Amino acid sequence: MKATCWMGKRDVRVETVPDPQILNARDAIVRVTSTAICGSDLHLYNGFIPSMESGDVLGHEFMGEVMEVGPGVTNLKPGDRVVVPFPIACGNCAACLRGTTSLCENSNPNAVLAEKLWGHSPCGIFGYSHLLGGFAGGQAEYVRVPFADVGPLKVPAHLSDEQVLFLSDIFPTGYMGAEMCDIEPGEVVAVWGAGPVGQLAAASARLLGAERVIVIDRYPYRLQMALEKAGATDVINYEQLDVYEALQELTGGRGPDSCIDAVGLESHAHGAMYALDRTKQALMLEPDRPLALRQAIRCCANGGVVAISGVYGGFIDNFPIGAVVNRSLTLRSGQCHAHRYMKPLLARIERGEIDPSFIITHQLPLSEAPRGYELFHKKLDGCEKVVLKAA
Amino acid sequence: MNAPLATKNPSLALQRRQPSASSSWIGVGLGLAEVILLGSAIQSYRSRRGRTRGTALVIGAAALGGVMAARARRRSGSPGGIRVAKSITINRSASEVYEYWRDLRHLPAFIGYLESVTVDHGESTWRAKGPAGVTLEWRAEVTADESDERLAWRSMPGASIPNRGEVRFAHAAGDRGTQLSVELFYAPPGGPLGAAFARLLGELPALQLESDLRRLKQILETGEVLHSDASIHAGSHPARPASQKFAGKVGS
Repeated sequence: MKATCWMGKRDVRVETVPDPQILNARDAIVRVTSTAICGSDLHLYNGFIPSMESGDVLGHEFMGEVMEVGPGVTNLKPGDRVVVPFPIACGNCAACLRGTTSLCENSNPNAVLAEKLWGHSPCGIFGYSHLLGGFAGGQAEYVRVPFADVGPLKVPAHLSDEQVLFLSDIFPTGYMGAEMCDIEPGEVVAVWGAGPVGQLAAASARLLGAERVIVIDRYPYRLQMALEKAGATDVINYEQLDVYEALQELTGGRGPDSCIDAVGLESHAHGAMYALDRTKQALMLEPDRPLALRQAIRCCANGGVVAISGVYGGFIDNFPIGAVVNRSLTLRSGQCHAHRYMKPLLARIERGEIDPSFIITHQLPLSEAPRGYELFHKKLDGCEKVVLKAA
Repeated sequence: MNAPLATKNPSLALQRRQPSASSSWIGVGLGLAEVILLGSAIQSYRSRRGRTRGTALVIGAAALGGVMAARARRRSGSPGGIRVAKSITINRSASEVYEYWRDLRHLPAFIGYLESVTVDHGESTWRAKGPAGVTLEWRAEVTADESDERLAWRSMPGASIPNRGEVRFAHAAGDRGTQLSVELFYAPPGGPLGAAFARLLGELPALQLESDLRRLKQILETGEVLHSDASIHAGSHPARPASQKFAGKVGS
């Protein structure tokens, strides 16, 4: 089959690789119809995530048709149309039973590696390094889905791929970011990053009752999308305005009640701190660059919540712990427990409350995946979200 | 073998360990170095059948193994023996976990280096297959069997590698199943046999044991050992399982 393979830093190619096979009783093989490039795939693309091997198949946002199921899967049959959540989760361990599927204790065969880096291991993830299991991803014609009796969600025929594809990751991820903010009526939420997760976090914050949603980015076309499509009430271009001062003005000096970091480890900014972080990152002294996070903490209202939806992998420097402690801030984070959000968010899509397909700017055949990565990485041609059509 | 018997209280066993490396800045650096070496070790392990990767990686992994073995020896309080201890929580009742382990024939399903265990008249025969076709075999006897609480065994006199082990099954507070604590002692001899055994055990005995226990948890909680995709792929590929042995077909 054809699959999008990571060959090295900024080197992605569509190669012919062996077809996936059923390896465990609870596996399914899915023929991929639509798959997307995630912002977190760009961290792999740019070489920030350790333990990638040349030839690894990328992709953790995908959907398609069930082709084959193992003997342990009774709830799916060939022909079912499904969206697959990006965390691989067994459904049996204590973490899964609590609903925290991105912390599944059984789905990362390389858990001992992840434990060395992070103390404990999270779940395995499709196409996301050997640290997270070394599972082949879904930017391919076919994909093997472990624990298929737990993850895949059947979707109704009247909804298009584009409407439901993002249930696999970014819609639940953005929604969980907003949910972590414990939004009360009348509250103000600020979102750093107007990429796909930031847009859907902003839209989710509105769904959850935020009075005002302020989105911060540097690309005018993305800020425009936030205003026109995601329901943002205000936007700040950090290349033109001082973010702290602008937020003070918009909130009467209180600061946003909660802040969502939808940027993660490759954030950009101006000034000496950015130069220092960038240099340290280049020298491998500081794996992650936390400028958006630092700013979110500084700007957040007293007693507020800073929710981290962006991806961080290792360590950061100059963490403003003083602001967190002295101003009673709450930090919340986590890879999305996508399983628990898929059904309720599908219901919202069906009721017409939201159509997450508004973020799609590019649809390409799978064979053009390398161009999709380049467009997304370089923010060319107004790129916000690339969907690859595998069939 | 002069290593002390396992302490009655598993938490004491934990306290005897070295402080966590991540408790200092130097430790963080060491932690990262270990991850990199570990990745190399796993890579070189994976590619053992096929192409050989950089010798430097193998040397690095071996050096790390040496450090860890030295740590393990310090912990055991015995200059000659190696103590390896790990705990894991399994979301199943103590009796379920105990019953599974008590049938020693189940051990090769999750212990990486074991090929088979056969049981006859209270004694058992353990067979392990190492690199380069070296097969090790020894007989063992159960020395303690307390229902749902504790199992212990030791190799019979004359074993080429004297060893003993103990596993404790405790109720995990908060209805979280069973807290399993395993403690193993080995007294590898010098010479080629000892060297073969060290390879068999893997360069990283504690990580080997942890991987074993994670496989046990997978079997008891999900029904089988989870495979990663590349177990079936040659050449460039996503990860294969830590051991080829577990890269079987469904139901094997």
